[in-house]
Formats: sequence, C-alpha cells, structure tokens
Amino acid sequence: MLKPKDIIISGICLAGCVILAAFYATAYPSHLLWQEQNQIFLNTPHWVATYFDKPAWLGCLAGDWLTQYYHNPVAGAVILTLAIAFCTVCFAIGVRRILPGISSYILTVLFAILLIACSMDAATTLPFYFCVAGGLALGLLQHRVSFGKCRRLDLTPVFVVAAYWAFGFGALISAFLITAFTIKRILRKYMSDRHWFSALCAVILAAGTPAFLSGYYALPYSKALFYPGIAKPALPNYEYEERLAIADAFHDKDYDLTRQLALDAESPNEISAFYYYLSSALQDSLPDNLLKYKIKSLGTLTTIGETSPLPVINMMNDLYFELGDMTYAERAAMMRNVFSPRNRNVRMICRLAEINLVSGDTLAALKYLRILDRTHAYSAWSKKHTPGQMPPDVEADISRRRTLSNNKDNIRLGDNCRNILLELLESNHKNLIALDYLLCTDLLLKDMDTFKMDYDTYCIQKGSPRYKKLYQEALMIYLAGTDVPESEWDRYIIPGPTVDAFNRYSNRRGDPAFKDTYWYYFDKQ
Amino acid sequence: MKPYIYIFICAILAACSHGKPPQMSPSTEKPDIFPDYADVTIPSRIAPMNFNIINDNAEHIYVKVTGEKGGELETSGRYADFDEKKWHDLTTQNIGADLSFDVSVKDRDGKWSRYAPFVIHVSDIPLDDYGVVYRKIAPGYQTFSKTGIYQRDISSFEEIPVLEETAVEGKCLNCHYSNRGRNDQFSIHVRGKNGGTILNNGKNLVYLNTKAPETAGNATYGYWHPDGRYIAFSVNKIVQNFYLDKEHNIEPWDVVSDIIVLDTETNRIITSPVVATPRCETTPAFSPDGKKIYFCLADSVTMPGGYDRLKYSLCSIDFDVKSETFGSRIDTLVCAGDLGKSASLPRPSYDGKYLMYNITDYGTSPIHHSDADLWIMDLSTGESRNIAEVNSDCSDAYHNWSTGGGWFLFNSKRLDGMYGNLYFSCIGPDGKATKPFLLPQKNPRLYYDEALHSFNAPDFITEKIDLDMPEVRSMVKSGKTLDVSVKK
Repeated sequence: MLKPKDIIISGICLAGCVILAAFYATAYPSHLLWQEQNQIFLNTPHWVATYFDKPAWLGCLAGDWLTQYYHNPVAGAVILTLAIAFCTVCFAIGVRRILPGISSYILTVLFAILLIACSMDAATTLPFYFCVAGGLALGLLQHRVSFGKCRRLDLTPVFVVAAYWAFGFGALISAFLITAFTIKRILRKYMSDRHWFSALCAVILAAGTPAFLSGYYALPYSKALFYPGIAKPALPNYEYEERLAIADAFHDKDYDLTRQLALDAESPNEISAFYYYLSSALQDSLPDNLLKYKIKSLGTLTTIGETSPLPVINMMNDLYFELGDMTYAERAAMMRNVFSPRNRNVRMICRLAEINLVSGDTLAALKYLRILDRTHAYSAWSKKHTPGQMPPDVEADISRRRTLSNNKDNIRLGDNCRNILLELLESNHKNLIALDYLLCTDLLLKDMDTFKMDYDTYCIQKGSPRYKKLYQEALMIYLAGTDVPESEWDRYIIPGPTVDAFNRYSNRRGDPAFKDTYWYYFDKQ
Repeated sequence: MKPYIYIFICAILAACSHGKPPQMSPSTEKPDIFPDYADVTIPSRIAPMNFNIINDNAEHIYVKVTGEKGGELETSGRYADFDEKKWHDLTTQNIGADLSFDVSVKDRDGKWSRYAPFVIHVSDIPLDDYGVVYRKIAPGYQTFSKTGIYQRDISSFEEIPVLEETAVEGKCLNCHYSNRGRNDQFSIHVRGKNGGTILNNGKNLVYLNTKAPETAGNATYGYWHPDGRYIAFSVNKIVQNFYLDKEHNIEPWDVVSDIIVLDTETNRIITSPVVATPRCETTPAFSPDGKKIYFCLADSVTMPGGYDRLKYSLCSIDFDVKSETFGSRIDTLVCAGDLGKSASLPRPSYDGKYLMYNITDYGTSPIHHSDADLWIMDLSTGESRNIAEVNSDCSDAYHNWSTGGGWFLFNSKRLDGMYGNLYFSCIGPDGKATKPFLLPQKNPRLYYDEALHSFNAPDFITEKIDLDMPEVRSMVKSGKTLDVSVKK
C-alpha cells in the first residue's frame, strides 16, 4: 500500500509530466520536429553498427532511434517527457540515499528544472538525456552491487568503463554518484578501505578512460570526456519556435498557413519574411505582397558559405529549389547535410532525391530514395518518389520543376542571385517565380533602370507583359522620370484606377494614404 | 532445462533456418548481383567478395564456391557473407585459377531458383600491400566537410582512421601522399586557421608552412622522390566555379600553378623558371628512377570564360638530385593540341613500365568530369591508349599503382554518378586491364547505399599508418609551423 504522502508526490509528478508533455506538443512542436529533421536513423544493422565508432553508443543509439518518432509532435512530446522523467527518477533514487528528507526533494526538483531548461535549447538532443539516465542508472547499480549481496566483489572499474563506453559523459555522473555515496559513508563512519578505493577508482577512470580512448575514437580529450555533448539550460525560445513553424508550414506546402504565420509572427525577421515572399511567389502573388511585409528580405542578396548559419543554408536551399536552380540547390543541400549530426539530415536527403529526380540523375536519386526507404517515417515518401511508382501529383510536380530548370551548359562566375535568375530566365522566360524575384529585387533596390531593362527583356520582348499593380506603379515612376512620348505609356501602362492614383500621388508625394503603393516605398522607405 | 525450453529453442532455430536448396539444375541465367563481381580478377589477399542479390523478392541466398584447384566454401543468409579465414584459404589454394560461384535464391514464396554459375579469377600477380588509404569527403562541392583520412586493410573489412576532422576540429584535411605507400614517409595538408602540412620525413614529424614568399601558394598536389628525401609539389591557387546545368556541377581551376621540389631534410624549396611560368604547371610525379618529373602543363586562358579551352599536355622534365636542379627542357609526352583533350594526374607504375593518367575534354579536375577516362602509356614505346576495359560513362580518376606493380586502384562514380568509390584492376601479361571490382564490404548493398562520401585521393599503403594523434593535435592547435625557404 502506498502511503498518502507517496500518493500525493506521485500525483504531482504525473501532473507535472502531463503538463510538460502538453507544453512540448503545443508550444514547442517545431523544436521537436527540428530535432527529427536534423538527423536520420536507418533501420539497418550496418547503420546501428556505426554507433560503435564513438563512445556513448547506447545513449546515442537509443536517443537517435527514438528521435525519429518526433515526426509526430505528440509522440515526440511524450518521448522527451518520459526521458526527462526517467532521468529525474534515477536522480531522486540516488539523492535520497545520500541526503535526508526535504533536501533530497528540493535537489530533485532543481535537477528536473535543469533538465527541462536544457530541452528549451534547440541544440539539445535526446541522446543527452539517455546518457544522463544511463550514467545515473549505472551509478545506482554500482551502489547496489557494492553494498548488496555481491559486496565482496568490487566492480567499480567495470561500471565506470561500461558507463563511458555506453553513455559517454554519463561515466562522470556515475563517478559523481559513487563518490557521493562514499562521502556519505565516511560521514557515517562505516567506511572501509575498499570503498575509498571504489571512489578513487571511479573518479580516475571517469577522467582517464576518455584520455586513454581518445586516440581510438579520434577525439580530442575535451570532446571525448563530454561526448556526445553537454546541453546548456535555456529559457523557452518562442521566437525560434515561430521561425521553425513557418519553415515547417512551407515544407508541408501549406503556403496560406506559411504566410499567415509569417504575418502573425510576434518577432518578424528575415526568415519569416523570406518564407512569406517565397510562399507568395509560389502562389503567383509575390508582386502583390512585396510591400505588405514589414521586413523586405527575398533572399536574393544572400550567399552561403561554410560560416553561414544553418537556417540561412536551409532558406537558400528552398529558394534555389523553387526557382529551378538544381546545381545550387544541391550545393546547399550537401552543405546542410555536412553540418548535421553524422553528416546526415533527413530533410536534405529528401531534397537531394527530389533534385536528382528533377535533373534526371536517376541513379543518384535512387541512392537517396533507398536510404529513405530504410527509415521509419520516410519509407512511404521514398516509394511515392521512386520512378515508375510515382502518383500523378508527384510526377506532375517533378515535370513542372524540370521546365523551370537551367538547360544551358556554361560556367558561372559566382553565386550572385541576379546572375542565377537571369540564367534561369534565359533557359525559360516563362519561369514566373524567377521573373518575379528578379523584378522585385530590382524594385527593392530601387534600381529603376535595371528594372525597366529586365522588364523589357523578359516581358515586353518575349511578348508576355506582366500586368501586376506593383510593376505598373514602378513603370510609371520610370516613365514619368524620362521624357518619353505618350505611345510609350500606352505600351506599358493599362489605363485605369492605377493611373488616376498616380496622378493624385504626384500632387501629394509621400502622403501616407498611399503607403501601400510602390511610389510611397520609392519615396519614403 | 525443462523440455519445453528445448522445444522452444528448436522451433526458433527451425524458423530461422532456411537450409540448403533442393537438388535442381541451374538455369542459363546468371544471378543479378551487387557489386558486379562476375568475371572480375582478384588478388588472393583481397577481403571476402561478399555480395547481395538485386531482387526485392529474394529472401534467402545460398552460395557454394568451388575452386578450380580444389576447395569449397559455402554461405547462406540474406546476402553472401563469406567466412574470412575460409575465404583466404580458398583463394590462396586457387592462385592463378578460377572460383566458381553457384548461387541459389529463395523468394518470399519459398520457391528456390538456381542460377548459372559465375566465375571470379584469382590472379597470380600478388598484391602484397597492407591496404589502402583514402579521404572520405562529401563529393564535389565547396564545403568544409567533416572529413577524415582512413586506412583499410585490403584483406579484411577493418577500416581505421588515420586522422579525423574530429581530432583537429574545424580543419579541412587534404590528401595524404606517401612515398610508395610507406607508413613513415607521408604528408597531409591541413587547411583553415592554423593550417599547414604535416610531414613525416621518416625521422620525425614536422608541421610546415609550405608557402615561401617567393612561391605562388601552398604546396598542394605532391609526389615523393623514391629516395624519400624530396617531394615534388605543385603550388596552386585554386578557384571553383559552378556550372549552370547540374550535369557537371563544378569546375575547379588554377589561377596560378607552378612546380616545386621540397627537400624534407632542410625544408628548402627548389624551383626553376622552367616550371614556374605564367603557364599552368600542375600534378607532378617523379619517375620510378627519380630522374624525371612527369607533370601537366597548359597555356593560360582567360578564366573562367575560357574554361573549355583549358587543355593540359602531359610533359616531363629532368631532375638531378645531386645538384638539386631541374633540367632546362620540357618534353611533351601527350600534346593537348593534337588530342583536343586535357591530361591530368600522371602516375607511373613503380616498376617503370607504365604511366597512367587521366584524359578529359578540358580542365584539370577529372573527378568533376563524367567524361574523365583512364589512359595508359607504355613507357618503353611511348604509346598511349584509353583503358576502355576499365572506363565507364562516369568519372574514372584518382588512380595509382600497387607498390609491387601490376595492380592499380582508381576512383569511379559509376555506381550513381555522384559518389566516387574505389575500384581495383590489374594489367595482365597481355597488357590488358582486367574487369575492375569494387572495394569489398561486409554488406556491400547497405554500405554503398548508406555512404554519403566519396573515397577521395586513394592510394595503396604497404603497412598500417600509426599517426600520433595527440602530437598532431597539439601541432595543429598551436599553429606553430616551420617555414620553408627557397634554395638560392
């Protein structure tokens, strides 16, 4: 029978777990999805065997295996909550054997808060918790063995080395626990020489094993000691969650939701602006929405290199892929893969498969699809994208992207996006996404001569003028600033309310009543 | 133990056991296997040639290998996974003879099919090198990837890191060059902050800054002199440009490139105005007698616009060790103008019989050209030919010879057009190369499917490399390099 006190404590713990899981599922789902997308787990013996190449194989294997279920936000929330709960229970058992009564409860609560705070950082992965739990569990087991039935047999070295092998820095936690148990026994004055040896041995081995094995694992000592890495506590980062949610909505091809999330963002930034505009472009409304977002960031003035932040590499990968530049999309995807744990990122492997399907490199695409086929969450996606098994919508999407791709064989001077856009339009002037990005970039730079030149080259000369209100307004500025005959106006401008508005604006330049027009942007922003 | 436990264990074993196929005649069709090992020639020391059946419906495979000179070997399972010791017993017993592989496959419906046997020939040309060394790197892009240099025992599946990026964090590890595969004379370039060249000159390990004020750049592509004192390097300033279409991806080219020779005893650089010109001289290699340096030479063109007119000839120049001087005349062995193509990466066989090199339509980076083919020159006649027996539609490059001669390895992208993998072949007595085979792996299908790296700059090594990782780490961390000087 449980005592009333235990029932109350259990009830509080259970309620805490439910609240925590609910928090992760509702307020932090994109952080969890980010973890899942930032790795890959293959259900093959070969893949599992690679975990033995580094320390902490069990912590990393268990953590990575469960992280793949983060694909479902509820499952992810439950898994993370249980991992934290398991660590806390192990800690509570240990601390209760060392400290009396209330102080053990306080320490346990603080420990739980610390673990929860660590989970707020997007860089904290599930293997961290498994290594903590593994280290605690082995420390407790050592205590049980050393002071239990097998007390004549000192297995401390085995426990500590095993803790390092299986849980990396967890060995330090084991050693800490073993030392704490020993200190307590010293204080209680029933300490034997052998327990001194246990504690000393635990500390020396926890620090020495990584040094001894750092060469074997090809890790510097500092990294080997704390492998796979110590998490840092942080406060909830809702701004980052917001950014991730916008990118996730975009990847789900829910462009309305992407734009809505970007518009509703409490902290609009370059990333929310980027996805707002890219979603607009895919809905053929980039010129209509260019002036509607506070931050003007199309991504066309951004380049990537080895020091670029990961979200920026993701952004550029999405931009190049949607524009149709498969070379640069592949480059960004490769780069993003390289900067992921174990050089693999499931979102980018999907992207690499798509890129190679679009470019017709079927053998390469099949390689990526075979990798995805061995995952839990992407096996169905892989089958849907396998040539010969594609449903009509996937096939149509691949075909559409092929028409947008570059078909010129030439070398390019750099990753200047203007050049990329021009090259794409040379291949296919009907690539409206590239056209809008080109013209809108000109307009954001207020480079009216270049805008006019681009508009002439890809709209007028190709016989497909693009009568968007934004372009009409910009053309009026250009035409009004030059001494062109009226016939030129007729060539570019459709008579109507925009012309009337322009005439009114000309007399009231800078009037905020016109803040939705390009004229106002040109004059005032 | 209670009887029901025995029954339970027997039931499990029975469920797992697929047994041998029933007696049946083979069909005329050969099995579709990965890697394609049918009719390849192997050295007797090679690791077991495990393979998979390319058939989604295949559930179980049974393979019986019979040696022409005797011996048998059986395996069964999801893929052909041979016992290492028994495999080597069989190959050793059958040197100069054929191994016949009799393959039966059980499908998901429990139906067995027996295929026509295929043959692997065990060469009598020995391959005595310990193994191979290579760099694993994400292919073809400007990424400072998490690279590492690894060595692999050729007779087993054991792969051991020589140096991983994790050991020297944030650095880009470049190619490993050794003197005829020796484990005590080699160089590795480390790029990035505190970069330099790790050089083991047979006596001690030093960290060099190979850029002298008088030279155009850092030492890049290297090749050791057979006496182990000198290394011929090209000093290159490399730029990479992307293509518009995805077929080619990327084109690296040299803004500047010259040839130097580094004296590893004095850390002095030997230069000559003959090989340090406004033209592009690159990828040097000493002849086996050490009296010549083969290299590639191109007239400068306006880059990057003239990228497809950048064509390298294969040349040689004398080098005298005693006087530490280059010759005054450059001999052209393969003229780019005559061929309309570009030559790169000359690699002479250590017995002095052959010179292997790459031919591409243009440029100096064959791993980025799907048209890159291996060519071979008979040094006794000066005649060259395309080694069509080993070339594919994808890039075939980064070749080198075994130290005993006869065998060569190269990097080919033929599996998927994207990732370069390691292939082996040998030149038979008739001067023809044998059908190349892919580096064996424990489970080849899984290994090559899951790998997201190329085997970059591979080479044979005669013994296992044992690099003092902490020493290397402290060298790189400190960034304290020895400067080189130019011999006046």
